This record gives sequence, structure tokens and C-alpha cells, in this order.
Amino acid sequence: MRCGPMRAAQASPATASTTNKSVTNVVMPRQLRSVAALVLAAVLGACSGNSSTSATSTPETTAGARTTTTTTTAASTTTTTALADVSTAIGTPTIASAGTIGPAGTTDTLSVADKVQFMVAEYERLAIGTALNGSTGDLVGVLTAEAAKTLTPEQRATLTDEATVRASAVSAGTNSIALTGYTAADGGISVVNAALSLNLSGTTAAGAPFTIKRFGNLTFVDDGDAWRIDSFDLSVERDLP
Amino acid sequence: MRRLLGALVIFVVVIGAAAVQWLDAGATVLKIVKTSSADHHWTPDKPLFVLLLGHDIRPGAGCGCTDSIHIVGIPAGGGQATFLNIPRDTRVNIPGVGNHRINEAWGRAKENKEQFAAQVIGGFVGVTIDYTIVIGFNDFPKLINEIGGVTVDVPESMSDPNSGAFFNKGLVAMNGDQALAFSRDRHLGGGDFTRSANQTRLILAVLAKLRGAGTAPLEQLKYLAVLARHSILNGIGTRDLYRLGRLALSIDPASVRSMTMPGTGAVIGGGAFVVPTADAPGVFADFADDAILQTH
Repeated sequence: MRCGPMRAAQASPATASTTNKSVTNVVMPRQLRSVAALVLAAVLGACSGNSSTSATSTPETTAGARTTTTTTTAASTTTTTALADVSTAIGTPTIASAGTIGPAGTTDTLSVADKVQFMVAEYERLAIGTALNGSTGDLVGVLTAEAAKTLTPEQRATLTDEATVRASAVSAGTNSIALTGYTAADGGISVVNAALSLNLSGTTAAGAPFTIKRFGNLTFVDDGDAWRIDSFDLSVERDLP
Repeated sequence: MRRLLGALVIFVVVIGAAAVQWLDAGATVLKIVKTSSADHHWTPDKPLFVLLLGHDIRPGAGCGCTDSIHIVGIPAGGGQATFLNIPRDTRVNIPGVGNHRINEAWGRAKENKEQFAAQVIGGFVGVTIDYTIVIGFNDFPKLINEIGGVTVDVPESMSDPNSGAFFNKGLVAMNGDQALAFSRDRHLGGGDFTRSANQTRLILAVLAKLRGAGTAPLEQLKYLAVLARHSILNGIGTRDLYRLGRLALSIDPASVRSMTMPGTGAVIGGGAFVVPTADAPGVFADFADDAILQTH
């Protein structure tokens, strides 16, 4: 067995990993540049939303308690707008370590690591961020067809935070992955395990604090056009109001 | 007469074999072949059927017979399995050859031996064999030794100089040669039927050992590395191999049902055979639909 670096560990701190920090500390591959652009756009969009919401709510406030309906609408609008930030606040996981098992590889390991990192970020956005926004993320692009077909409700409850809590703010204390790739006899990497550690803390729309710790393994396979989750062994600890 | 072989660890191995030190051994001991048609792709939401064959070829001996024949059915979702053990002397029609013992199917093929055997044996039972795994007589003990031996619950005492099986009833720690002897002994009540059931007992003991060594994702990757290094793969990529291994490790040996084909001895045309009894077709049909024996 030969073990070698799949990718040099990134120096990003394990704590306070925000989207902006990840982008700053990493030499961004193409995919991440795209992601960063999307994230930036989302952040800007969210900020615009806030502004617009403020603007929208201002006249209502200014208008005073003209009607009960107006007051209700304002509260609802404010809540929805704030929730739009949750997904992006989780950020992109940092690669804490990486290596391979098997014969010496010939695959572009940097590329594989980037693709897996990208898909973990997608998983977190769809399964966790979107769920904390009160919606249901579509996991079709994240899971292999086989994994999606056999996903049980219990497994989904571990994989996602759907129907748990609606957040108004979230921050990721830790968001890191340790990658181990398997190199086949031809030197190519066909299976990658990502050991995930994701600690989130946040507040609900009502201001109550909560924490969600998720740790364990996501196993990715080369699914043709992308690396997707084929199996997982995750644990989740939620401290909810 | 030594034929026989034990069998298969195989699957298990398939699954995941073994001790890390085996990584350095370098020997190729298994052949894993996709034997279903090109347009037939197994997915985890369907039952999987794997044919395990152990052949008797070794330097200066062996007829090319697969004296260990098991079809492992794993239902959709995994976690359990059914072993259908096929007596080696079972009389079947081998295309291009005629009615012969089923253990000759693999050796009679001039090419694509695994596909041919899968078609004959799968066709006999009525299942599509997704994958076939073959291990040789001399390789079986190596495999057992490489995983550090195995503990087998011997169902009845054995004292057979032909196979070298001398064991007391109960839990017995075996090395590779002892495991081979255990899997070969047919001088028992029930003869080859009992031997075939004992081979499954041995395979499950290996599975239990591997599961005891760990089933976490990283361990599965190590198993995959071990397996791929020591296997000849034909028609199967490492992604599917990983899935097979993970599926195999999901099987709780306590949830495995082992059944030997209902059959009886018969002398036909001067040859001694095993022929299926009247209830065999019902067993086959029960097994083929979802890999679970609900009514047998």
C-alpha cells in the first residue's frame, strides 16, 4: 500500500470558517471560482433583499398601525429576508487533510479533491442551509441515482436538517473535511471518503439559540459528470429550542 | 479424492477482505466477473445474485471441477442474505456437452468460463447471476491465513483422513489448511449435502471476522484496496466493487439463511448424480423472486 498526498492540507483555520475566509485562503480552482461568484452574488442578493425589505417595511412602519394586515405582512417579510442568508453563511468546507489508499495514482488528485470539496459544499447548502431556511433541498444532484433511490426517511433525517428549525442566522464554527481517495490498479481514483466535521450555531427567527453538530463520513464515487455521494455514515447532534 | 474446495471466502472477500498485511502479499487469488448481460445492471434497490465457485485445479491434480457451488442472494437493501448451496453432482444439461454434473460447467467452457458457468447454474435455478467469483484450491488456505485464521462452529465432530479434517464439535480456531480440510470433508451424515452446508458455514465465519475488524467507511476503502490488489476483475469497475463490498459487509451472518438444494442420489447411465426432488422448483422460485426464502 502506498499512501501519498492527495492534496496539501489547506491552511484555513478550523474555526470561524466563513465564505469570505475560505475564498481568501484557498487558491481557487475553477469550480470554486464559480462557487465563489455564486456565493458572492447570493450574498449581494441577500443584502439587496435586506435593503429592499427595510425599504419595504419602512413605509409600513411610517404608515403606522393603519391595519393589522399591514403589520403582519411586515413581520413576515422581515423573517423571510433574513433567512436568505443561512445557506451562504455555512460556507465552503476546508480540506483538513488528504491522502490516498492503493497504488500510486495517476489521476489529477487536485482536481478530484476540488470536485469533492465542491460537492460537499453543495450538500451542505442543499441539505442543511436550505432546510434551515424552512425549505426542502433537492438532493438529486448531490446523491448518486442509486443512493437517492434507496434513501430512507430515517437516513434523510440524518443527512438533512429538514423540519427541524427555521433559522434567522447561522455561523459555522467548524466546517472541514478529511479526504481519503482510493486509487485503483490503473492509478485512477474512483472512490473518495470525506470525513466531515460541521458545527453550526445560530438563532431562530424568535431569537432562540441552537446548535447542530454533524460528523461522520460521506463516500463519493465518480459519477461521470460529477462526484456524488454514494453512501454515508453520519451522526448528528441537535440542540434545539 | 480431493476435489473440493472450499469455498469462498470469496464473497466475503469480495467484500472486504482482510488484514492490512495482506496488502503486501501480492498474490492474485480471486477472479471477479460480471456475468450478467451488458444491458443488465444491478442497483441497490434490486436483489443481487452472486455465484461463488471454488475449483480444484492445483499443480498435478484437479479436473477443473468446481466442487464448491453457492448462489448468494442478497435482497434489495442488503443486511441479510440467502445461500443456496448446489451439490456438485447435480445433473444438469450443459449446452454443447449434454447431461453432466453441474461442477463440470466451468471447466468445460473453452472461453468465458465464468459467463458460461453462470448461465448454466443460474439457468438451472432460474436466476440471473450478476457476478461470479472464483477461487482456486491452493489460494483458499492463503486467504484464510492472510486474515489471521477463522473460528468456525463445527456442527459435528469430524475424523476424515481423506480431507485431513479432525475436529471436535463446537467452536474451533482454524488456519488455512484446516479450513480447507473442514470445507472438503464429505464423509459425514448427509455426504456432499452436509459438506456444501459446511462451506457456507465457513464463509459466514469469515464474514463475521471481517465485520468484527470494522465496517467504517475508511476500513471499507482498505478492504477495497486489498480486494482489488488480489483480484482479477472482468467487466466490473472499482466503483461497483466498492458497492459490492459495502453490501457484503452489511450482511449480518445471524440473518443469513443457508439452504441446500433439495435433491436425492440417482444412478443414470452408469453415472452417480444428484437430481432435484419434487420440491426443488418451489424453492428455486421462492429464492429467485426476491432472494429471500419466505415459504421454505
